[in-house]
Amino acid sequence: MSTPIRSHSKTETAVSVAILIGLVAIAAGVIWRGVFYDPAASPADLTLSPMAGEPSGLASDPVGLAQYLGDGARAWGRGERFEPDDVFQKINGRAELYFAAGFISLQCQRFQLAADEGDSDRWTEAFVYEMASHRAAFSVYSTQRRSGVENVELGDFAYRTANGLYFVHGPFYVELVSSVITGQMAPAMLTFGGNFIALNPATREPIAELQMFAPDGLDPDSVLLLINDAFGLGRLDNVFTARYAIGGVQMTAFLSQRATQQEAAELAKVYFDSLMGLGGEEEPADSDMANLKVVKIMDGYEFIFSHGRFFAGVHAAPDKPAGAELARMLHRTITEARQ
Amino acid sequence: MSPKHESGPISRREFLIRTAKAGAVIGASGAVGFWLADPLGPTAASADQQVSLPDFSVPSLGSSMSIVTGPDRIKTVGRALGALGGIERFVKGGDRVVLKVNAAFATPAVLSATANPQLVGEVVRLCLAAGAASVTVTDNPINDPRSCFALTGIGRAARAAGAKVVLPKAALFGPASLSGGRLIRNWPVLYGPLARADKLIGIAPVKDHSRSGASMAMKNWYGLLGGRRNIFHQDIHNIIKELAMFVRPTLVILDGTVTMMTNGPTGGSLDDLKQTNTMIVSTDHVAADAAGAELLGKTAANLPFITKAARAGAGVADYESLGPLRADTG
Repeated sequence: MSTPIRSHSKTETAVSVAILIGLVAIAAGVIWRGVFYDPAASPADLTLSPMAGEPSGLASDPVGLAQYLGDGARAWGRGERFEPDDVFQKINGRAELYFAAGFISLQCQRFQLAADEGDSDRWTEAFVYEMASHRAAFSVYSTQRRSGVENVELGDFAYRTANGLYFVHGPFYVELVSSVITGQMAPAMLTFGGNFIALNPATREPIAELQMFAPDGLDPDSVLLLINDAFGLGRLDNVFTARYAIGGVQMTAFLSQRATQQEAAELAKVYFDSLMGLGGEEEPADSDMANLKVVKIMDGYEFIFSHGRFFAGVHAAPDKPAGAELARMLHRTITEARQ
Repeated sequence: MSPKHESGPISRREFLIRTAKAGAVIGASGAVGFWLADPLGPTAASADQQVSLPDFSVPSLGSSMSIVTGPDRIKTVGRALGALGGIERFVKGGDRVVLKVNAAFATPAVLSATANPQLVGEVVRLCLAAGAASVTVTDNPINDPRSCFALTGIGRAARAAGAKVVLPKAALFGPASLSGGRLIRNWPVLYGPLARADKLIGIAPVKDHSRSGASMAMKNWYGLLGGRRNIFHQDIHNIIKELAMFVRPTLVILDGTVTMMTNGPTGGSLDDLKQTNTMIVSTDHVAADAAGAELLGKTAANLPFITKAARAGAGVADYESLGPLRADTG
């Protein structure tokens, strides 16, 4: 006797057909997406979520910069840390500047004021560069320093701009860059800086060369340390420069402390020879300064001398008497420092 | 004898059997799907599958340039394009347009380290108004791509204007070589968004650059390179020259409304910037850069990559020889 077959109702049949059609449509959709792959980003791909919603604790603050934020500011997004082999992914071509000075690491963290929460156009990013030494930190600070800005009492050296705060503390060079004119962000930046300094004790290593530039006519904010390629010459490394205005004449003084007196003398000769090779003409020194050389080149004068372990001089002086006067001042301060 | 058909409710036994069969089918389908799933997506082309970047230039239009001054980017770019005959002269109905923007860094638009989002949005709008079938905005940034397109505002502005934004993924890169090139040899290039494009427009700001002296229209093509491209920094002028030879765009838009005068390419302080109120549009990216150099207080002669690119035939350094059309929007 045959097994009875249960007949199917029209509803069952309709549901079955609908399910089969749905499955075929899903398969067709998957195949279509695969064949006509659209790499366009979705709106979600183009937004950043704040720290809310991300796991709390060390995992959300891998670089530890959030600890320096004061009340009213909160970390936004995950912190980042870069080493020498990948720092170019953050600062690109500027990495070379830091490498030359002795780069160790970079930590970054964005943050917002609580009042700006939810506004993705208002935020600040902290960049903490750990350099090989205090001098290295001063070098990257000074060579990137903007002109005409306001000095700030913070750390060893500090200034602020309309949207940023920049300072040196021990071997650290710190930048705080805001997307808005600082205004309300300024106190938060200073709080970050103060907390960073308080929580990272550093030995104050005086930079002796900074005291060797005579104060008369000096623009004190112009002093900078060139780690290499001073005046375009590869051998001129670790050279401090400072801008002067003497009798209305603008020019640059330079000095570099070398390991030995002989090295300083050799460097002076190398610089002199390079200037002569570029078409310079030696001028009479007309000075009682020992081993002073004067070169006229490209509508200006270069004054070069060595004094003990110091290689020093005046660069691009448009006026010979003014340049000679600055060279004498520099020689005098180096003499006093050596005593 | 034919089976006898019964009517009436399903029995429990039959229900359980049918449920088990359905469950088995569903389970098997899921297993097959899981087996076939590729969470990483398609991979990049292999080294022996060289890709070739199309020539997007329109030779029949010749070399042309316009330089328009004014503080409003929307007005100056419109006027600059209008001076050259309008965007319609370059973008035809049905064209698939790619805008290669400079979205290199995850910095706010106010710092001018990246293409201005309002400018990008306006160019998208103009292309679509000219009848473009699609506009795609893309770049392979230095920083995390998602952060860059989000924090610069470029992603939001592009989408709001009707463009698609394509973030760089491994599958979109293919190895490419510049014929006769020394540096671009079998190098991963962001080929995917350009493969089916008809027109390519570069949009870049005028910036100082610590290595090359300037980052402008030609340097913008650096954002098409993948891999560990930072090694090219050691030969920066030659890589820019090769990029200028490798990429033949329809048009470049060089935005000198605000110029980054120092501390480039990232800048960081508003004090690094100068309001220079100049928009340069050209079919010749060498000429565009030569004009842009002057906004930085430099000349083409100060920037070796310009003279190298000109000597290589990628364009002209003497931009005045193109007879640039000038205007001022006030």
